Amino acid sequence: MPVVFVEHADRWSPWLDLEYTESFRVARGYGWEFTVTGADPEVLAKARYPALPYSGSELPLKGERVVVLDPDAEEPLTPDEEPDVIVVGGILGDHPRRHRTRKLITPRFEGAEVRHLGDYHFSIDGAVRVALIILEEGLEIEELEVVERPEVELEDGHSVRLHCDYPAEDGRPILPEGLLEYLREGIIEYEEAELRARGRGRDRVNGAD
Amino acid sequence: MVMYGENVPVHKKFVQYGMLKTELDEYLEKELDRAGYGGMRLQRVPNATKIIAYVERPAIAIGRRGRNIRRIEEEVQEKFPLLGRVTIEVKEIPVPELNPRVVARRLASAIERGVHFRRAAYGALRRIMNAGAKGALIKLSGKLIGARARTEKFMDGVVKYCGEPGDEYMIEGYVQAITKPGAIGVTVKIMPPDVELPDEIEVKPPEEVEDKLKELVGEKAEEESEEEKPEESEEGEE
Repeated sequence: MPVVFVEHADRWSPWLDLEYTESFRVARGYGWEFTVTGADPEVLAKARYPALPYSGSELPLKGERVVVLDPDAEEPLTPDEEPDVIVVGGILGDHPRRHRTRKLITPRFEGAEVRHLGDYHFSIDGAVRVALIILEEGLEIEELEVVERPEVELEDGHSVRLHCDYPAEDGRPILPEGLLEYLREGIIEYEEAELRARGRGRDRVNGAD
Repeated sequence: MVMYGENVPVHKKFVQYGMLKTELDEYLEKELDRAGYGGMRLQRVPNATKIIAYVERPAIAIGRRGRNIRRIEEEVQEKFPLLGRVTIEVKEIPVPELNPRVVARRLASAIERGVHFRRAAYGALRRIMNAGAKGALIKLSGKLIGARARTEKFMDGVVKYCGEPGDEYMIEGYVQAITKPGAIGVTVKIMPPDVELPDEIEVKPPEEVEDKLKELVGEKAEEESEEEKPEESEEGEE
């Protein structure tokens, strides 16, 4: 059975968790296996999907056709390819880009094909979904419906513009399940811990502003 | 006072002037940060350029016996020779909550101190609206919580994005909050309380309109009778 590896390269966060869970759901929906590789102890402890503590490159992949999805690749992913393994970077990204996939992930998989998904900047689950649509449904990247940086209204007078591109259906971006609730309400415990970890002073989540 | 070279094309003069204003604004923002800088205005007066700087706390901007402001005047003269002789007038911002730059700076510093962004933004929005603004928009962009960046928008009241009201009436301020995961852009846009929007039409009650109508009709009848009189006299002369 073909498999999707997501090479974990960022710190755990609820948003990352939602993207991994959605990627797992998408991969299983297309009949692919899914594993988060290189997972740190926090991911391993909280994962609701298969996760391994070591990189996918350390697995015996001899004879397997491996495709690494890297935005810096020269060639796009096409429906003609039949990989056994797809590697996606578990990276949330920076602006300006730090090209971490090219620096950290692509060199690990020697002999792998390196492909991009057009000029888009997909989220992790978006990249998994788009790659599997291309490979399983035989669509070219240009034929896909994509919403770039969608803006979602959470409540009256409060909206969020996401900085990623998402595959869409009838003009509506396909977002990870639970993302809207997370954006609307947040997770107080996590946010408190995050503010403390950033060393930005006292815990002021529930304090006076 | 000649500000630009003789042979500079007109369009370049505009660009030069725009750049000079931006650089001067940035310089003053840096120098008057502690005083709560909220923008400036350039005024040409005979033989000099007058800069009106709006601040929250004029005493800090002026300094002891005007020492600070004199130092800034000298530095501005040195850094921006095109302005010629410079005088700086410091004015207090009457309602800081209605100055987008001041609000943006306060919000940015709250975020830097570790206040939760959503709470800080809603607080700032409430204070702007309580100060009487017709509308306000707060935009926070960057890694607010966690490693995934996003842009959060908080809006209340009337906010115009384009057209004359968007260009002319909305005032905007932008400040960056520097946090450990990266810079967070804080944009504040305010629709001031005293602007008259094109869609604000006052419908008067019929009684008032009737009175006005009678007034107008009466005026017109008087005018007509005045116009007729000289004609009669002309006829009489004949």
